[in-house]
Formats: sequence, C-alpha cells, structure tokens
Amino acid sequence: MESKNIFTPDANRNQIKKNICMVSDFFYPNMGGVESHIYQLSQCLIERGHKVIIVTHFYKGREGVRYLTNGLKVYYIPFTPVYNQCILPSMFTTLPLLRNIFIREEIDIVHGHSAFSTLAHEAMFHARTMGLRSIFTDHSLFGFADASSILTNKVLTVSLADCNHTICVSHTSKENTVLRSSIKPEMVSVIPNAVDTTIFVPDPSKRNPTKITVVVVSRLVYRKGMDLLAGIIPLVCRRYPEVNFLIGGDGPKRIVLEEVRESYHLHDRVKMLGSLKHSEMRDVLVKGDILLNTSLTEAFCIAMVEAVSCGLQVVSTKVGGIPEVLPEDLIILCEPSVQALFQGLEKALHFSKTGEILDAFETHKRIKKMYNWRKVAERTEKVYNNVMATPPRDVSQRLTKFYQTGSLVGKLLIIVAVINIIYLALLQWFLPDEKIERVPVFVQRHRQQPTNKKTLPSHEVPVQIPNFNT
Amino acid sequence: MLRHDIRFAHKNYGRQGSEFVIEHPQLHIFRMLYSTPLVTFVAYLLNLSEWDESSLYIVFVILLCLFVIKLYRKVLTESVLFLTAMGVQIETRFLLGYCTTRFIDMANIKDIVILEAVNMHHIIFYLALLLQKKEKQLTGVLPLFTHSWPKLSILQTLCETVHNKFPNLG
Repeated sequence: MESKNIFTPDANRNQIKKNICMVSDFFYPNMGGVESHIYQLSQCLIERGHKVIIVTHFYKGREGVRYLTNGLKVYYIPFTPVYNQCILPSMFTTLPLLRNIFIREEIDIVHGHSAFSTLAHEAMFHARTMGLRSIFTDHSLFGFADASSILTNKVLTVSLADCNHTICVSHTSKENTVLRSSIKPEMVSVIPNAVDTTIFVPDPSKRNPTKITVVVVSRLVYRKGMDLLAGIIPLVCRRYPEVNFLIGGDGPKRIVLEEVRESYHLHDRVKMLGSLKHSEMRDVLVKGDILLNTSLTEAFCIAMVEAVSCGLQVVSTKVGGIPEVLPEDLIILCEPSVQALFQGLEKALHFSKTGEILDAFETHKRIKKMYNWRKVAERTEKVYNNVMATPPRDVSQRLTKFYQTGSLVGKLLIIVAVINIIYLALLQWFLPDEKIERVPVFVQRHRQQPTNKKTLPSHEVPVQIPNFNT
Repeated sequence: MLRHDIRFAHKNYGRQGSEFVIEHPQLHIFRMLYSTPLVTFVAYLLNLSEWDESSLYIVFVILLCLFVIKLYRKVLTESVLFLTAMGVQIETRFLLGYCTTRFIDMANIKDIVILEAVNMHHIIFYLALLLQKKEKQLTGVLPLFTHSWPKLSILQTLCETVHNKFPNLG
C-alpha cells in the first residue's frame, strides 16, 4: 500500500479532515432542492477543509469529470437515466466504476442523497461492501398506502439497514423515515436545510404598488397541491380585483391551471412563467407580496424560507414538516382545503392592505440568523465525526442486519450482498487497489495572467484547468 | 485499459525543444507459440476434427482476419515533438511500417493540460492540447498518446518539462 501516500503527505489527514463523496441522481444542471442542498453543503464542507467530490449520472452534453467553484469535483458517470432522472437499478454494473472512484479519491465517507435516487442507494451499498462508512440524507416525505411508496419504503428499509447514519431535514421527516424504514430513532439526526441569504435579498421597489401579487413557485404536480390552487384562483380573482397571480414552474398540472385561466378569462391577471432557473427565483420572488404554498406533502419547504428571506408574507398548508420551518408570526398556516386556504389568503391580503406586514429587511435578518449553510455543514461534520468514531461492522454483522429486514427480502438481500462481496474480490484480483492511480490533492493556485496575452473573446468560455501539485 | 508495460523516453533538444516517445511492447510471437498446445487441447475438447469442413474454413478465415487487423492496428511508438517557435508534431508509427503525422502550429496551441475521463470501468488521466480558435477545425481539446494512456507520473513530468520550456503557454 505504499502508493497510497504518494500524493497525501500528511498521514494524520484521516483523523481530522475527511474525504467525502456525495452521491445522488439529482445534481446540476438539473434544478431543485436536493441539487442545491448538495452543492451548498459541499461548498461549506470544502471551506471547512474537507475534500468533497460529487458523483451523479450524466446529463445531456455533460459527462466525464468536471470542476465547479473551489475545486468541487463532479463525476458525471455514464449510466443512462430511465425514469424520473434515475438510473436503472442494476446493483452490480455500477460497482467497478464506483470502486475506481472511491479508491482513486481515497474516500472515507459516502453520503447519499434522496430516497428516489437509485445511484445513491447503490453507491452506499457498494461503499459498505468496500468497508467505507455511509450516510444517507432523506429529503422527502412518503405515504404508506400507494404502490410506489410501498416499493420505495422497502428499498429504503433495505438500504438503511446497513447505513451508518441517516440525516433528515425536519422532525416530521425523521418520524416518517423511522416509520418507513424501521430503523432505530437514535440512528437519525435532524439537520434542517438552509438558504443562501446573500442571494435572496428583499427589494420592495420591484413590487407593483397598485396591485397585490400572489406568487406561487413550485413544480406543477399533484404532490404540490395544484388542484387546490386551481380552486382558489377563481375565488380570489372574483372577490379581489387588485390581486394578480404569478406562477413559476412547470409540470403535468400546468394544463389544469391553464384551463382555469381560460374558462374565467384571467389571462391578464394570472401570469404563467414556465420553469424557472434557480438564479431567476429571486427576481420572481421580489415582484410579489405574498407567497402561496399549496403542497399536500412536504418535508421541508425551501421555497418558503427563500420567500421570507425576500420579505414576502407566506400562506401555506399545514402539512408535513412545514409548521417547524418558520416561526408563527412569519407564516399563515391553513388546512389543505380550498376554503381554508382561501381564508388564509384573505387574512394575508388584509394584512397587506392595512400595512400590518413585517418589515422585509427585518425578516431577512431573522432568516439569515436561523438558516445558514455554514451551520448545516458544522452539524453535518459532527455526524461525520461520530460515524468515523464507530467501529466498522464486519461481514457477519452486516449479513445479520440484512437478514432482519424481512422474511423473503432478507434472504434475497443476503444473496445479493454475498455476490457483491465475491464480485468485489474478483475486481480486486483483476485490478488490485494499489494499481489504481490516486488523484493528487487539488490546490487552488491563482495563475498570474501574462500581460502580453490577448484576451479571449467574450463568447469563448475559458476552460477551468485543475492544477495538480507535483 | 491502463497499460504499465510501456517505455517512456524524453529526448532533450535543449532550447530547440523536446521529444517524448512512448514505446509499446513488441508483439509476443513466443507467447503465441507457447499457447499453441493449450489451443490444440481446447480444439480436441470441442471435437474440432469432426466438424464439417466448410465451417472450419469459416472459422479459419475469421481468425485470419482478426490476426491481420491486429497486426494492422498494432502501434510501435507514439511520439510528440515540441519545437519552440514552430509547433507540435504528433506521430504514431505502426508495426506494418506506415505512420501518421499531424502538425499543429504553435499559434494554435493555448496550453497542454492533464485531464480526466471515464473509460469503461476506469477513470483515466490523459494529456491534451488545448487548441485556440485560429482555423475553424482547430478548436477544443486534442488528446495525446491515445493508444497507450500512460500513467499520471509520466504525464506530470511531461507537462512540467513542456511548461518550463514554453513559458508563454497557459
């Protein structure tokens, strides 16, 4: 194992700083809460001196190895997404490539994100087979009744049986995860999401002073309660002529909203923006006075925090982890029904008319204190330290854990686990660990620009080149 | 596939430039001869002698084609010649005697870098020339040593030498 220390001169590194691999099917250029969570957390962990890499499947026009800000390395590995941006669950085909990545980057902890992500589950399973620690972050709530959640819950039970630790984004989410995957509650920590408050700054001048704008930003899907929204829009528009709607996002339920707009002739009052980039979010939010969230299930609504950070009044359904996200005076909670939401919205409209709203910059300051990515990274680091301190499980303990997951599933899982161990041994025989080249430590070096150098034309993006210290 | 049995040589021409040569291993005629008894044994197990004559001909022709293709594609040496004030010449010599050469003017070269790529079940390091937009076809990256994919330490020494000799790169 002499080659292991070629590029890492300090042997004590493992005790203090860790090499972390974030794995998820969902990452940029895809847009959403999980994606930005992974990115922000990684950046803050890099700031704290850890080495972080991200593994995701390839996207159109984006494959291979890429570098993001501060040397955050992203592997876009060639597995085709088949359903909902997830790769085909194949268990063994991902092992050779993931093993190669884990060894060359000298990974200590594999951190999977999102219960939907097949790649995350597979990577955690392979990591455990290789004797690395694994951590899982659950980003969403599930039911227990419909076919898809029964299936996902089983997958989660199996995956978390062997996971070292689980992180949830709210207490409701923790409760849900513990029930779904039947793990011990002490194995689950709650670390809420955060927002980048430097981006979401209020700007009251962008608002329309003569009108009241209600903003809705979410994917237009059933889970986000778009049918409720379709019920409220005509009610509100009929009673309050000064209220306009601004809807950002896209999805299968867009047609329902367009139908409503069509049949009530509300083209000038309900504006549909289509899918938004995360960078455009702030510009949309500052145009509004009220944010309406109609979700039917939600673990942690990050859009709400972003809206409050921009100084909006929030009206939301009282489901899942939403009540714990914001203090009572910043949010109006209602039951998930058209009538209750309408009343909630009326209350918010009343506040805006009488001017009883909180000062936008005051709420921004409060959010800044409450939700901070650096704090999230600090708390995640504690979880990493705890996990690294626990002794690693041996094969027999792992197999016992698997056996306990279910009468049929347990036995099947043991077969899969044993095949995986044999497969790993075969791979190790064909290409021993020492033969895999380790990646040099990334050092950020600011190159001096030669003075006589011609500047690139603006349309040409300069290629970011990693600097390897030799 | 990473190959570790290649030989790397650096020909230093001082201020005029540098040439980097990668020699591939020779074709193993003896290894082929040694494996003949094994192949014969396998043929015996498959009852090859009792096969129908025409199918044997087909198998023979296929094997012969494969052998010719392998000979045809076998690379002897790959070399990259850096000449100050001129440019870079990339040359690949094949076993059957022919060789391909490509010359790139110094004005078109922005830098030489080490990149990473996914190659089946491995992530490999490779050397690439970053090309500058002067002519339409010369843009993007041009990978070097594509027949051998040498290991990182070789690439690092090469990169360092080139950067020392060509301070205006990068």
